[in-house]
Amino acid sequence: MNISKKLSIIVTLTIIEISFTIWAAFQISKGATFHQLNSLHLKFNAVFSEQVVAIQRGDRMEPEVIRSTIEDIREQPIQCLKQVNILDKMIMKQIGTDYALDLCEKDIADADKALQLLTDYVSGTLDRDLLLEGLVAAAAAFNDNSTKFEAPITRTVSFIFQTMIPMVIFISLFNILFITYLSKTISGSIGDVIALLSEDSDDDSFVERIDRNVSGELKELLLAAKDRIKRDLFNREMTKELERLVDQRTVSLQRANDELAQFAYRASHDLKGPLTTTKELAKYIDQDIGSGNLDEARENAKNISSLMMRLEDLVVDILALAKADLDSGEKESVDFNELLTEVVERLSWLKQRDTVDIIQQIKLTDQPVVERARVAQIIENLLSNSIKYLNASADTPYVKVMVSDESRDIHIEIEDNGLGIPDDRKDDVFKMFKRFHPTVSSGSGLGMAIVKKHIDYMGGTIRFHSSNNGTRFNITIPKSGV
Amino acid sequence: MEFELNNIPILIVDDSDMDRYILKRHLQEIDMGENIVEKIDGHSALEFLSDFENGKALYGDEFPPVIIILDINMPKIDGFEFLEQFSILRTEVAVESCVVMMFTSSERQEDKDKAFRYNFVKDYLIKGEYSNQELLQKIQKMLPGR
Repeated sequence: MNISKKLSIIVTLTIIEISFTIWAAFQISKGATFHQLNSLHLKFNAVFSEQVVAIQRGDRMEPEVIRSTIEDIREQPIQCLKQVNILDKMIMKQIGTDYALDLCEKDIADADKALQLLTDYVSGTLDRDLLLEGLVAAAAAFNDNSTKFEAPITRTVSFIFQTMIPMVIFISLFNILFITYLSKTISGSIGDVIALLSEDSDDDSFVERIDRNVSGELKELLLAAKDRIKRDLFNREMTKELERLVDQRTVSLQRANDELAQFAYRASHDLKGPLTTTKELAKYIDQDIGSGNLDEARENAKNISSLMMRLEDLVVDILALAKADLDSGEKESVDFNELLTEVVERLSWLKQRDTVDIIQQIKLTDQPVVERARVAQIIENLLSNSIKYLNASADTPYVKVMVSDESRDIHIEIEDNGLGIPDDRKDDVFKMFKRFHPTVSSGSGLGMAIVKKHIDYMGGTIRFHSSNNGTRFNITIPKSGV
Repeated sequence: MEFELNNIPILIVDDSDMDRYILKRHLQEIDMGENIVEKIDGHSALEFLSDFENGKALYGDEFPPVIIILDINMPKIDGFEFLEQFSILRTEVAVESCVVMMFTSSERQEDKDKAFRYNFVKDYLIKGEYSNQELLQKIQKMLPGR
């Protein structure tokens, strides 16, 4: 049973009890009213008797006064009958006091008779002696009625008293006990719910326990509260999560900005160098030609040439780096044999290329679908490094290119026996403008950064292992269209 | 030891052949190119300066150099590392007469501040942005006792 039902039972019981008590009080007071009416009846009858005695004595009779008195008498039983309702009649019938009501009717009839006598006398149809006789009889009748009226009324009142009071007490006691019981169960349920909430339990067993142990409105209350709190918590979590994301993004952006600033500085610095030097050298060529120092002039002209080539490489690489972030290429199915031949051909300008053994091992189950340009650049940059940084004191400097695949990825491995990557520079490998053997070769310092960007863009991975015996790069690129 | 202006021994420390070549020509144009030693990085420069006996034997009075023109971006031991080690060297060997002019393409204020922390660094030259006139004036200002 839920709490609101219990509460309405409590209200109902209280209403019943109060109604009952009020009704009992009315009934009891009715008894008092009857006694009162009876007293008045006696009083008026006393007055009437006196008037009759006075007339017998020989006093003058005033019919109207007598009439009025009789009417007063008559009024009392009329009032009594008015007061009595069906329930009262039933009770009086039960206890056998209903003859009191007949008495009232008789009394009214007696009064009517007396009144009739008076009317007859006044109209002259009745003589004085008969009237007197009648009046005396009436007075006696009234008196008799009154006397006989006492007992049943008293009896009825005490019956009501004797039954109502215990019933009121009983109902009150019952109510007290029942209401106490109901309130106890209500506070018990609430106490149980509090205990349930105070326990540590995970969400599922919590809902289960609510289901089992709680019912009605408390259950609804708990479930509604749980949902509300969950929603609030969820919102708060979301907000926290969003704030965290924003912070993360901000840090990311700041870092990107810093990187960009650094890059811009380094790039312009590296671009400016060759230009400044060329400017000076051109001046000297002019001077030297003028002074006839043609050998010097030629030497400087060659220097300008190589400076410009380096500058061109740098610009090309900066462009490649920028392009690497853009979605430029379409994917196509690539023949790796063809690709490798092309790349090696492109590296023919490297003066060490002829001293290096370039070994190809291609074991592919099909022609993978990739962005050709990116893969080509990765292989070209790594190959070019292996060639540039070969170990001149090795017996046969070589670089091995191995391409294989499995169900979902393409594997590219590039291994050489060159100078290797110094241990303390291993973290700098993919950073921009980092050259580890500047005395051996100078490039833009962007080659590996370009490789990393391509691999990141394609969702692949690159690892390397290096010592002064050589270096090995392992690259994995996911196949697309799988 | 007093030198004629055009005979002052100068040490150029720079890893770029062409930068050294250009500087040398500038010095020749202002008539100070007679007495130039070149080193390609901080390491060999320090070795040269610290090996006092050998230096004196090879170069006589023209060792140690009066003026060191020093690049910043060099492999192995760069310009700042050189300055640090040189400041220690000055307490051990009689090279206190050497004064340094930085010679670099870096215009960064932080690099200037870092260099001038050493009291023997007297000036700062930016590659490609000086005239012969300026070069002469700077060197003259640097010379001790002038």
